[in-house]
Amino acid sequence: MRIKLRLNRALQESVKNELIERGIEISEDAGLILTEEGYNSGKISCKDKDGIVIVEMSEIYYVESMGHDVFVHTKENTYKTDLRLYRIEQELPENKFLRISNSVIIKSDVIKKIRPGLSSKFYLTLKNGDNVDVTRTYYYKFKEFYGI
Amino acid sequence: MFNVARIIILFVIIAAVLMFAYYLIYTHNINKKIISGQVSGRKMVDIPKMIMIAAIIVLMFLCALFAKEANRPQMKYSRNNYAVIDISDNDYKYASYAGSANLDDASFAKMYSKEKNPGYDKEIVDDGDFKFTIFKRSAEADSFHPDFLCFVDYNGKKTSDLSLSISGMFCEKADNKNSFGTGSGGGEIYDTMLFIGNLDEKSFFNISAWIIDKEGEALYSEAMEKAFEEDKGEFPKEEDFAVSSASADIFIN
Repeated sequence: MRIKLRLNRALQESVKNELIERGIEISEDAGLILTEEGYNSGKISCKDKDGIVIVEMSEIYYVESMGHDVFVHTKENTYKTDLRLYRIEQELPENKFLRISNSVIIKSDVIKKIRPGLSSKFYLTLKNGDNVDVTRTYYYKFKEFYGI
Repeated sequence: MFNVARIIILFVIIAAVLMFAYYLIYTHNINKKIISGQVSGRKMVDIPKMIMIAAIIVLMFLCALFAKEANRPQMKYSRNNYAVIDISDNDYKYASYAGSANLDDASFAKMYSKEKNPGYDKEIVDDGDFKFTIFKRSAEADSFHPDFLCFVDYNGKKTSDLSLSISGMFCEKADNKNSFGTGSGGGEIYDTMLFIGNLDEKSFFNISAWIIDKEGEALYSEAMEKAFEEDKGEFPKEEDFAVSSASADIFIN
């Protein structure tokens, strides 16, 4: 039997060894796929004018939905993706990414400047110069995340 | 109320300045924390909570201020040093103040200058040992400034056997009759006295002052006894037995 594994790094080696011991072959060409819940490949498939682009999660500054479109912003580029925002949120590591409004998820270490609003809001300037807002709904989660 | 408004404005300005200072400190603090990635440490109170706290403090202060103001008796004149101010009647038609020029107190006299008062015409009447420095309103009438002020200075002798009598009377222009007023007699001689009051078109204000000695007082008493015995309805005036007397009339056009 041949199996393709889609596991996070923590489980990858132990599961692989156990399956091999049981005589199961691990192959990237296998039709049977064993996927861990919350599996994160560390990449997001996006599109630009030249075609498909794979964006490493480490490159992402923030992800934003506008209407039916979802855009992935990196330091210099913006890409469109077919994935829904909630799906991307599930894929992104919780300790590195944070939802700050119904339409925006940011990477935690890309904030350059923060300005508090008078009515439970924060206005953020990111390291790439873009501005995003923390809305009232996510205000206390944001405060808790950063310990402010 | 004017002072209350000034206190409120001052308090609100101070609160706004403190709030702005807190905003800057808070902004600096959270920027520092986020950039350094330090999630532990003491959290500052956030801006919306601080605004709420500040609003509660301001409201409590305003409530206390208004409660205090509402309980204060309605005085038309300063309460300071009221023990030496005579008020002629409940309508506060005029007030007089008597005291030493050297006395460092808070009184009506402090509000006005004997030299010059904007909105008033000055007139000086020298009469014997007394000098009347009269200020008559020249500006339009309002509720806060009296129609006239009169400083009465005594420049004569001051010995233990002399005493001062002084009166302030509202009189009808038509017949010179006194309508009402107050006076005091046989008292200590003051350097300076001040009369403050309002007048209508039909009246004028008369200030009479005289210094009488023991002999004059005795003669006046005898004359009064005699007048009672004769029962003619005519009585002597004390100032006729005085060693020095003076009088001034104040008219407002």
